[in-house]
Amino acid sequence: MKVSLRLALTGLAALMSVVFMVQPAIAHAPYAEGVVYSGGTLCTISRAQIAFDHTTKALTASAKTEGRLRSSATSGCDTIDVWAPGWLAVSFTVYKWSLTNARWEKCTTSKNPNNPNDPWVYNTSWTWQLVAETNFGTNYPCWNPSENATAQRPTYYYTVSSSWIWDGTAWRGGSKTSGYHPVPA
Amino acid sequence: MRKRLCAAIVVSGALTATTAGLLGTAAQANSGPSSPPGISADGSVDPTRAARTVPLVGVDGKPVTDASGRVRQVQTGFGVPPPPPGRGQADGLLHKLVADGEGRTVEKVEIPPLRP
Repeated sequence: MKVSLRLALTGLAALMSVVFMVQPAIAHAPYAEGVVYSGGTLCTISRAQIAFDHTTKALTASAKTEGRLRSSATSGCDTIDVWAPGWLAVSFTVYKWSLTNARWEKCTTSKNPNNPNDPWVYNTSWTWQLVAETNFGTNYPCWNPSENATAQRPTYYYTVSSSWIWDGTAWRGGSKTSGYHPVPA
Repeated sequence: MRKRLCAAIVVSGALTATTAGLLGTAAQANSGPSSPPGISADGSVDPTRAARTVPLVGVDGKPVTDASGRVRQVQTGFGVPPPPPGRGQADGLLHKLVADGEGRTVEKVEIPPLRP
């Protein structure tokens, strides 16, 4: 009886594991991250991401600038340090696939609503990592409902980051490009 | 005569199949996006190969045109920010200090989407 109960419980646990394992992913976030500048002791790491939450259907674009130092000329970007306010900069651009014209089109950037001509965001604290993010919710940017209705298929978005660190004389950095994600999905 | 007819039918069938295949391929290619030029598999951007300008799409999802009706082309935006003096100040955005996955403090900025 005891053995049967144990077996039953084991079976139930195994079944629950399978159930949890086959749960669909609720969010997908194609991203790319890596070193975009490495010179002297300074390294700039950039990340670009486009995220789609399959539960809420919200779309989020983000970008990151991360500073690292090399502990020696031959080492990797292995040491964390912090930079003064204004020395880390990040921006991102969101591209949308045109179903009508079958091409990528520039949709929007990380522009500050208080200064729409400026896509740049700077750190305001001593930090080693700066992340800029826009959650569009379900108000997808540059959305043309008739285009999707006509095409009867999703469109796609991706994000390009631009990450820079001021080394005292010049900006050092570069860009990464996320993978693309269908919307709606 | 019969052999020629058979050969013609075979050739005709092959041509039809090839055409259908090509059309199918074209339709398939049109259904999904192509990779942007100058972007490698790891997301690195090669500025020498990446497009310098791209068409601009408006908030309504339609291409933005100039006075002459041509689609407006804009720079891809791989530029360098302006020099930093005085820029690390309050910018009206919400800057939060949050912990990353390893408990280290990072600065996160929420940028509200612009609406028309």
